[in-house]
Amino acid sequence: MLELVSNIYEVRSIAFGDSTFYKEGVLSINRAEVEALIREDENVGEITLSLTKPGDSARIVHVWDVIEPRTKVDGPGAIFPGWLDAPISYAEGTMNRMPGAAVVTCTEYSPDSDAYTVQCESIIDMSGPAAEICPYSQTNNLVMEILPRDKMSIPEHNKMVTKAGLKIAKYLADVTIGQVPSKTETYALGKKDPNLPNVALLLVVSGSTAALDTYINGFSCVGIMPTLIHPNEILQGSLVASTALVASIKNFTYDYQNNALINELFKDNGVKHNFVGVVVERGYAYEYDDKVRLSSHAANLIRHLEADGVIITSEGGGNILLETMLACRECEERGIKTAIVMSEFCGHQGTGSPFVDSVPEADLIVSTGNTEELMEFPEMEVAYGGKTWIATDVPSNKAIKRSIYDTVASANSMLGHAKLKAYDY
Amino acid sequence: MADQIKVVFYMNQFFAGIGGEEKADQIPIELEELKGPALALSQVIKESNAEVVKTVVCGDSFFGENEEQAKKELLGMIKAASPDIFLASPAFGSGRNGVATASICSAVTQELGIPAVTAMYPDNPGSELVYPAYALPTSNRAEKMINVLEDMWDFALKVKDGEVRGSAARENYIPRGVRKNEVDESTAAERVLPLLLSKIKGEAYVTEVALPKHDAVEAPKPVTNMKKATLALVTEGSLVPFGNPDKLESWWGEHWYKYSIEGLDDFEKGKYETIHAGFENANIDDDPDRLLPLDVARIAEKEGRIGKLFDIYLTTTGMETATSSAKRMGREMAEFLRSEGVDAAIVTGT
Repeated sequence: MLELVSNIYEVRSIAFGDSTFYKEGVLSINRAEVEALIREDENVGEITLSLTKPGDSARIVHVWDVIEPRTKVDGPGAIFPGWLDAPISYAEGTMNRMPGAAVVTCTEYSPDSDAYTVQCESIIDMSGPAAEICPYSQTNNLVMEILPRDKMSIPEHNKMVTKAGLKIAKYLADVTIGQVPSKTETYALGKKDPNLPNVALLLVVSGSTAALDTYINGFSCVGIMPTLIHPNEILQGSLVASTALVASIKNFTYDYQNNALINELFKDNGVKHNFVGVVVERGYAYEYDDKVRLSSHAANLIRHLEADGVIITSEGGGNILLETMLACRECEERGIKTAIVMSEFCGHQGTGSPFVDSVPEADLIVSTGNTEELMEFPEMEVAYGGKTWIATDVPSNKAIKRSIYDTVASANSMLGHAKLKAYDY
Repeated sequence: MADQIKVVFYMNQFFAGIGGEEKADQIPIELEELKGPALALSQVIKESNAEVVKTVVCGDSFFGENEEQAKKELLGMIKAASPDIFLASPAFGSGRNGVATASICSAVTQELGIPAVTAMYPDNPGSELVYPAYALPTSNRAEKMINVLEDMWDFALKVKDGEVRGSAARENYIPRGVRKNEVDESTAAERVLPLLLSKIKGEAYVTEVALPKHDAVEAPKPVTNMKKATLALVTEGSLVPFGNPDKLESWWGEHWYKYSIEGLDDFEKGKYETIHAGFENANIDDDPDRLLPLDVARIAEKEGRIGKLFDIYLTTTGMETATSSAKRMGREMAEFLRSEGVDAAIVTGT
């Protein structure tokens, strides 16, 4: 049986110090070492490191990715395969993880960069109303603002910052090696109980172009057919986010590592249902026929898992919604019951229709909230990651009113951790 | 002693005892005396130190066929009485009555700022019109009038005191086509799995998001002869002159713009660009004809395969754009093109 052992080292506070160590819940971080590691990439220019804790009157802007510190300590394969080590992944072994801590990377595209005219904003407020709906407001964050040395293409810029985040996430977790964990959990799919329903998970992830990409063991998902992947691999960082999508509906690497749907499926595995596996489907295919082709193949893989039901996610807006809805249709036509986790686009007033498209088979949809609802973001004492709210003159610590959608990181995430839900009023 | 609560009540011709269907064209009037449900309500609210100070009546057909006029006259009568609360008699399953009671309640709250409550069968078409006022659910048949009036009164008092804050399900009123966020106790992951297991087992389940009803747009008749037709180029891909002089938004499109393509054979790199936030712009900036094929259209014009290429192109942003905005802009664009003698349009999207 393929089993992943996860050793837990909870972080209750972080601080900069003379050396990097973990002791009794405190994570001390040596700035110089962190900076030196990031600078192993010659393309890196300016680096600014800061710390934020839950409850701080602090805001982090221009968030690119969030990663939980993890490292593989025993068994074959690596953590974040394909990024820091050989792209070899295994569904078993032992890893150490540090819940309560997160590495937050921030960056800013230069105005003359080639792809996007306007970079999407993405923020984490450590206190206030937005903190209630953002998972990274609850973690102790090492904030790393990383800018390129010279002009870079957007895909190269993204990869540079993504890799830096992963590298430091592993570096921090490495200091727990040899220490006794506070808790240990094991993850295994196990043998199917024939009396229980089989449930699979289908992750439809963004893969539009190199700037809106998701990586599987370091490989771009743009152009790939849907694939099987063991959930234990996802826990070890096989799925890495690298997409310049809008803040609240974008998947962060942290949300793959701490995937609420995978955790929920593992929780009562063998008791209420059999968790039979995970399929990843690339979304944002360019041609409608390709979307149909990919969704048909995903449904066939799910059928191959002998799933009776599947939970289907999405990541983004209208275009990728088609893959999600088509996957729903293809699964239902093969007798596989579906449930979709979906954010809604009801407009600022909440009166618009929630989706631009749907299939009649999508009769079970769980809401992660209206993304377009407006929120007041209060003034904070301090802000990190950038001087102003993107594409404005407003200083980043100042108050502003905007929609959740283009502001709060992961607030409407369709990977399942969101508690935001839209109700009829 | 606290101030008395003043209530104005609305009824249709039937509940007012004026007549049945044959009197549905009754014009808006004020009643001299309390009758029917208005009388019943006055008994219900007496112990709350409240009084029905005026009853207004309108025929269901008159309202349906002269809505603006009916609303104007009724609002005038209602405003004159300065009520604290406005109630409209339950419509139950009657569609025209429901439309009238919902519409007048909605107007009273929107334009006079007065809490307004009615009641009807949830499927009554009026239920979609009542926002920002409220409609309580009833049976399809007109029955239990007193009970319904009591519920409406209790609810109206709560609205007046600002105590109706929760969702339709929690506060027991009919959903009004508005969705608002709340932070649930459980995550989407915790909620979705038990629902899916119920669905697999063939047990009952309720979706959290109902599928939207999309209206079907009937396609117009095809152009009979393209060689005589004027063709326009339109895009939602945010194609703009370089520098985006009119500052077209990159998402949440609410504006559309017209730019001349007179004498142009294609969109030259460096002179045009896209500012759409929904896809990587580099490929389009490299050759903007990829987004809107001016080059091919111009060749078709020169070869006589189309009659004429309209010398203005239209552009907007279809990223994160509200359906209502898209509808409005589409209508405006169509009206403009039609007024310029355009027969057909190619609309490119992303």
